[in-house]
Amino acid sequence: MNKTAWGALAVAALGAGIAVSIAVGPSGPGNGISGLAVGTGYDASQHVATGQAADFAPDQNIYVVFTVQSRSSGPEVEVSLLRNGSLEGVSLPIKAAKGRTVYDVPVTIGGPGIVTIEVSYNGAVQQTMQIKVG
Amino acid sequence: MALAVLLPACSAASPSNPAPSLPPVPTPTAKCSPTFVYDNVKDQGTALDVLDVETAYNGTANSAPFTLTSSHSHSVSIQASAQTITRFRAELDGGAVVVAPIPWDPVGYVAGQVIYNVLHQSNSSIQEQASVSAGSSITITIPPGAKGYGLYGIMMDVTQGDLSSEGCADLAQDIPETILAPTQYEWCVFTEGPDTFPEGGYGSSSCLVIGNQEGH
Repeated sequence: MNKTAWGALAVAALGAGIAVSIAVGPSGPGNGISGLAVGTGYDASQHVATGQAADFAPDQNIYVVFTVQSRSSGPEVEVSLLRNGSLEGVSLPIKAAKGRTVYDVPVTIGGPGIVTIEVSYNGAVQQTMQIKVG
Repeated sequence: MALAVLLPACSAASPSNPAPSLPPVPTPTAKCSPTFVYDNVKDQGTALDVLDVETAYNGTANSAPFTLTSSHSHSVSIQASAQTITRFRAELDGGAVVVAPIPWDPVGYVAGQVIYNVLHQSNSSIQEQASVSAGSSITITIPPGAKGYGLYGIMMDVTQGDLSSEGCADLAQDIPETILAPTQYEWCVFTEGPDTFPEGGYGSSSCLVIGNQEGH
């Protein structure tokens, strides 16, 4: 894919409310999610979450960062938030690009508690982590 | 030669020799009354026609029941669209419900009757018209710091088929149509939060919708 195509992809993703950045690493053979991390920011040049931690303050804006590996374009990736086992909400679906791509999804966290973050690939949860709020 | 023949005939018009009867005046043809047929019907499931959105916020430290009450009344009849129907999950953007509008056209009375008769045979809950009313309520449990949403509307049966007419040459034939036929009023409820996606997302459960009233 050339730069113009990547740019169109980024614009389309931004239009859907999802920030996107392109990783430069080699593509592996498998499909799925890896490298789930949460931080207070996102470094678009390095494709990493900054200020990574497991504890955050209430009402803070955080970034859920992960890598999608896909041999074809179009798999649907979603981020889900749960508290006490109950689903709070689901992100807008990301139509992942072919290859290896790093995505970041902003989240505004609420009050104190334990938040579970799940990232699913075509409906199957592949990466999970918990953060503590407050 | 023709003139010589006709002139005596014209001059012969006199009281003693009455003119021959005039050719018959064409009578206006009756207004075209097409016969509608709705066939090749394919079931496309159901989706909610959202006519009212009610919300509540739980600012307490504990989960609590909240009652949502509708504030609008509206009626919905059988409708059609030349577009292929796409149902949407009701989306949240900045705490507001986003429903993509689809342009729908009213179906004429005669065509509506035919569609109703066809669809009612396989789904007895289909009505020619259904209504929602102000004052309908539903109670949901909202987690602390979360927001509850109630989408109130008419559940529509969605089918795709060919709506054709016979007997009127100027009417289009075999137009593929998506038909929305009302069944009954329903609430679809969900919560969001307290953790949210500022760039948009969905709530705790999905509501399949076809559009809001402003999009009609």
